[in-house]
Amino acid sequence: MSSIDYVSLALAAIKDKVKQEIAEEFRESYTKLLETEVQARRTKVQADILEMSKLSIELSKFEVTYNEIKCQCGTIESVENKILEIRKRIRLISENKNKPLIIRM
Amino acid sequence: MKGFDLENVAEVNQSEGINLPEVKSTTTVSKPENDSTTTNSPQTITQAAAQNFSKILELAGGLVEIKKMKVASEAVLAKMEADRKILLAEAEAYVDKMNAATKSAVDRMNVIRLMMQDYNQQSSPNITSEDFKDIITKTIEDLGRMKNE
Repeated sequence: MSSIDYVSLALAAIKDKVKQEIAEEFRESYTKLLETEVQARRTKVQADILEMSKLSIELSKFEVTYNEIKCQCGTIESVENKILEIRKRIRLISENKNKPLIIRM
Repeated sequence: MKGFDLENVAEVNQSEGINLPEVKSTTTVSKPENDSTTTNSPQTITQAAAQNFSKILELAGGLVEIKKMKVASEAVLAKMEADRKILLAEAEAYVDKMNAATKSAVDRMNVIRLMMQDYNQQSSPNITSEDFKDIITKTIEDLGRMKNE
């Protein structure tokens, strides 16, 4: 074998090594990306649950007070609509929370 | 084949950031005994280079390919890192947005609730229930308008 053949051999080995390193870096980076995606999703779901619970608590208090004056004033349409609006909002947050996770490739 | 000087190739590789194993280029072209020229004379090197030109080109191509792979992989890795940062920023923005929206909704509910509570706590209401209905309806409308603005 001549010198140039040795160099060719060494170059081929280096190419293999570089390919291997790149594949390993890709794997690590992609795993990290997936973990971040999951973490981001978890953060959003946590926020959704927190907001739903806040709204539910406030809605309960609101309904209790409304039921107390309902006996004197009768049904107040705008208040009823407000209650429906808040319930709808809670339902929307819940639906959003339960959406399946779409992982970007 | 013999006599090809590898020093320049090694220098190029080092400048490209590629560590090739050191190959000593001490091999020389065998010369006839009666040949008086030196083994590393420019003429010999030129001849050797000419003979191995296709292989030299192949090597250069290999180096370029390695460099290309590295650059491409770095670009993809940088994009992945940028995507990660975007995901984190998006999640943070979503939390802030949700927080603000809920706070606003809760505040509006509290205003109406406190009005109803206040009306309910009066032993002898100064306003009729019809008046109260009108007031609270108007308040809810105003609050809705404020939200949309």
